[in-house]
Amino acid sequence: MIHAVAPGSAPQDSDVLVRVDDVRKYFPIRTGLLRREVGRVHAVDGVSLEIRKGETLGIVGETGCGKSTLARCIARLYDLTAGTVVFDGRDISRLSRRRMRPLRKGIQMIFQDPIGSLNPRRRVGSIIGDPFAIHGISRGEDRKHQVQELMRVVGLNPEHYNRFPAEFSGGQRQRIGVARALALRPKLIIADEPVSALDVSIQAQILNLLTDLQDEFGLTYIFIAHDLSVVRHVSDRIAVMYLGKIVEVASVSELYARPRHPYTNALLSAVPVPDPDQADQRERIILVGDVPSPINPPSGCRFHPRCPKAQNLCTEVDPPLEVKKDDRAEHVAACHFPVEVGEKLSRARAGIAQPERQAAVEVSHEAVEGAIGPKEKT
Amino acid sequence: MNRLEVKDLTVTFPTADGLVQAVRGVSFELEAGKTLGIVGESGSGKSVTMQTIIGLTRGARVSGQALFEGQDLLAMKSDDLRHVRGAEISMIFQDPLSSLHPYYRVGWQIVEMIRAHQEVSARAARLRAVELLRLVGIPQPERRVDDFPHQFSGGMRQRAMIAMALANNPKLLIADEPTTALDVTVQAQIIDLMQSLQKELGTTIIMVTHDLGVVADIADKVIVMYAGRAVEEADRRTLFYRAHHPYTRGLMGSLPGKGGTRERLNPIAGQPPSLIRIPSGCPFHPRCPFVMDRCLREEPPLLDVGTEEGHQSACWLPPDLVGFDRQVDARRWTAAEADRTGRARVLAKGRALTAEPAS
Amino acid sequence: MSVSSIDPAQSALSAPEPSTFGEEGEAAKEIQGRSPWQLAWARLRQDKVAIGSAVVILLITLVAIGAPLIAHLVGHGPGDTYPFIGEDSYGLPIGPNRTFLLGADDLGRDVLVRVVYGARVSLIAGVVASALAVLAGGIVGMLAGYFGTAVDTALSRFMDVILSFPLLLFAIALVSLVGPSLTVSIAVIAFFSWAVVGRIVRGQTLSLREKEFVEAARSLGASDLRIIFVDILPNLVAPLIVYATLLIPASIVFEATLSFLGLGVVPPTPTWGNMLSDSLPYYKVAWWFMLFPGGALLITTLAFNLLGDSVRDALDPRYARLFKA
Repeated sequence: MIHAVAPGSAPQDSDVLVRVDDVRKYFPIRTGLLRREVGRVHAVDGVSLEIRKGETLGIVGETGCGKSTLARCIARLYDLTAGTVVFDGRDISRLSRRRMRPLRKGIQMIFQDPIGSLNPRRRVGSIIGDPFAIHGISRGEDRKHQVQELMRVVGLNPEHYNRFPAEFSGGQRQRIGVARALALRPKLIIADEPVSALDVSIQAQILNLLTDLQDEFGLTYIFIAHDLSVVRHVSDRIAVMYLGKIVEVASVSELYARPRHPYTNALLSAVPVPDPDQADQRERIILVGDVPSPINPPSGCRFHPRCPKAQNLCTEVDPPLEVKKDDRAEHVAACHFPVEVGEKLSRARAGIAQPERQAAVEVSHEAVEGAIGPKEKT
Repeated sequence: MNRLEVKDLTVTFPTADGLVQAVRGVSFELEAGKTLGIVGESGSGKSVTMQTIIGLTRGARVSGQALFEGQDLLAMKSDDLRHVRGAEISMIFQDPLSSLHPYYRVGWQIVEMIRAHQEVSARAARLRAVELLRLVGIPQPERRVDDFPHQFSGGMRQRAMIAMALANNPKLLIADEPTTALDVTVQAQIIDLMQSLQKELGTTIIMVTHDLGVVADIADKVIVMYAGRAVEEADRRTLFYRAHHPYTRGLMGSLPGKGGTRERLNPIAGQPPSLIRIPSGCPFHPRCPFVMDRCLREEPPLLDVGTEEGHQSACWLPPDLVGFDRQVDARRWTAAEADRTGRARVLAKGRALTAEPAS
Repeated sequence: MSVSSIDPAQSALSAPEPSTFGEEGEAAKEIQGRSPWQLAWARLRQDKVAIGSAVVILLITLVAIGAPLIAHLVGHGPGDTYPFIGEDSYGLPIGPNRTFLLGADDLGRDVLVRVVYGARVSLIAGVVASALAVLAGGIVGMLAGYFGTAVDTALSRFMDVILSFPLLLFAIALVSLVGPSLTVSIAVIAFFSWAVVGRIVRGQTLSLREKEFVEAARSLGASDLRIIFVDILPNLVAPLIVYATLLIPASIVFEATLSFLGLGVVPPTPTWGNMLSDSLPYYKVAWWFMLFPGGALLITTLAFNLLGDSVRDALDPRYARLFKA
């Protein structure tokens, strides 16, 4: 078992709202008439994390890294394949749907798609009133007042109570989703890509709203996004995921100042910076190839086929998530050969390649360099 | 030499609700070998502008000129235009599946693209296809050339589409949100590739995007569009450090990451306007913190501002007020206040809530 | 690139909401919460074909309800035979005249009265059978789609079996066992129609189940029952209405076919199907005998089909954007 937090610095249990321990979620792939299982997608493959009260934990990673699956495991929208989730001192990982129900008040989600997450056939008032109806908290005029108060809190006009989702713009629809999540005064809100479908100017409105609500209601957030600048803006700590595993966890400042995992380095260097001077100075680490299939993940460290620092050890032994030399106690990385401060990876190329991939990778480099390189070099 | 010169381009779509004024008089010039970035939010008209130039808008009323090496693309017969498109101008879309046919092999599609515009043997075209796939970084191109699009990953499809777009060494490459659907590391690969190709082949690139980060990375010149118009035009540095238009300023203020962790962002209030009922005067006035009486009545033309050559902005604020610092914002506020009565004052009052980081 | 011309319109139409603070005044001017149903209704009312079809269907329904009245006014019952005034000296049916407005049939019965009574059978069979089919198909499809896995596999296979049944053979066998009647006809029609509805509903439910709003309900702790009734069913009503309106004419034709083959309603009760069947030997000498029941069948099915198309267009969310204020 791997702990995200080193024993010495483990925060007091009372500070921890959610403890995720070695959670795994595999989706079986079935084919044929008899629905025989032919393989498994290792969507989340042994993740351990702690989320402290009042903080925002950002989870970043690229498509298919398992970040949304992890969120749904924590919210218990999925049954876990293995591992435990402890929420507010209670192990919820094996609770039945019925027994989970009262606890759902404490964990709420905000979804990505401002269109898809609202039932188009229902009025906004009834959508936001859903949590009250489901948990039998209030009814009639009482509920209407509560819903309208929520609408006010998230910056919607309470007079629009009787409208349908289609009559709102994207940003306002996302506010409706926020109001619904807020209704039961949850302790934890899991926001899955809450702003990635919105335009820049609207995105900022929603980010501000989420920050304000956190301050006002003392919320704890798990904030999932593929956009690192958004995550950086809202988070206290960030966990980086790659192919079903967490490769690095650190506070925002630590992560940006001293990223230790080569994948984190590549990810950070790839984010476009809206500043021409910085953009010109920066050296992008161009990763080779694509993310391998989560059905049959690479042996050892899952990043090794694309890693510029990989050595033979990486193909054999899966590196544990641990505090690296000179790092702060809360900064953990899963890498045998972590990147040193000042080390440049932009010129490096993947060292170890999978046997069947090796040829392909080599050819493509030669090709690209053969085609483009010569003039650059001279 | 200007590779592309667009003059007063206007595009409208008749719909059941009324006339959608997608593009309202856009003009720009682009030098050969340079990269033009066009930024704007959804509905700003940036994509329609590009689609119209290459003749892909259907059911639209178009006026104006788009001179490609002196020839007006908008006046061309569709056969001639088809020849130019693909051979000399090609386009990369956000969704590679929309331009890769699912039922044909990737290589075959590139071969067809080549042979449609050049008289070469099938064999030679195939060799060229393999070479192109290699150029865009597809591993084992000799083998993958016979794959179907669905056998490629998202990033590979995008690269395959770039290969197809480059098949005939186009002089102008129009990329419409080419990396929006991709992950950042793949996006970095694609941008890297486009930059290398430009260096190597001297391609002129137009990059249409909503991502200011991408623009900051690769554009030589940037046009900011709002409600179907170009509201600001400048070279990259000027735009990012010394912008004039309040909308550009608002976009920059909306960006997370620049301010630092958990600081409040300064979003633009309200929503972009309906293109059927565009506000009177300056289309940005209902959202602008620096709204003045004049903005309600007259639409500002694109005029020279600041000190840099080629820096233009469509805003009634004094032309010397460029940049993002508090002093400039304060001067903007003062300048606007001097010309405010009645409704403008009411509007500005509402805006002050969100747009007064300067004070 | 296929969407190039749609894009600007969509984005344009998504925009005209006022901002959230300080603009309450503007909000009051706007149209207050029009439901998707109201929008569909507004669209339907502007559709001339829909209005025309609805009027025709209404007339047919009124005529069917008022059949005894018409019979009374004309003075002929549906089963009354008039061998002397209804047939000529050769025993052939007499053509339209002042006594028999639409002529008489082979037994000297009034075609008008029989067509009017036939409408009752057709409408009852069409509406009841369609309703049963939609109900059964809706429930089975929803269960299969929502619960998935083994439930889905079992129910889907069952629907496959029904869809691959030789329906006429089945109908003949059933009728020879229990004897023909309207009830049996309706049961047969419903039995062979519900699986089509079931399959469609299953597909829709499958996609609805994956929608984020269902996931949101689940994350709030909603029960399966609540999700089915509150979140999924309202989104299925529109397609169900469309299929019901399109199923009615199919059922009417189905019933007519059964009657035509002598497997449906027993003579002397008039139906359009058995009238057509009876008229076959006379089509050269008594055109009215075939034309009027056939025409009635055609007009009724056409009206229902046209109305069904209009309803589908009105409910189709793709058109919703055109009507947003």
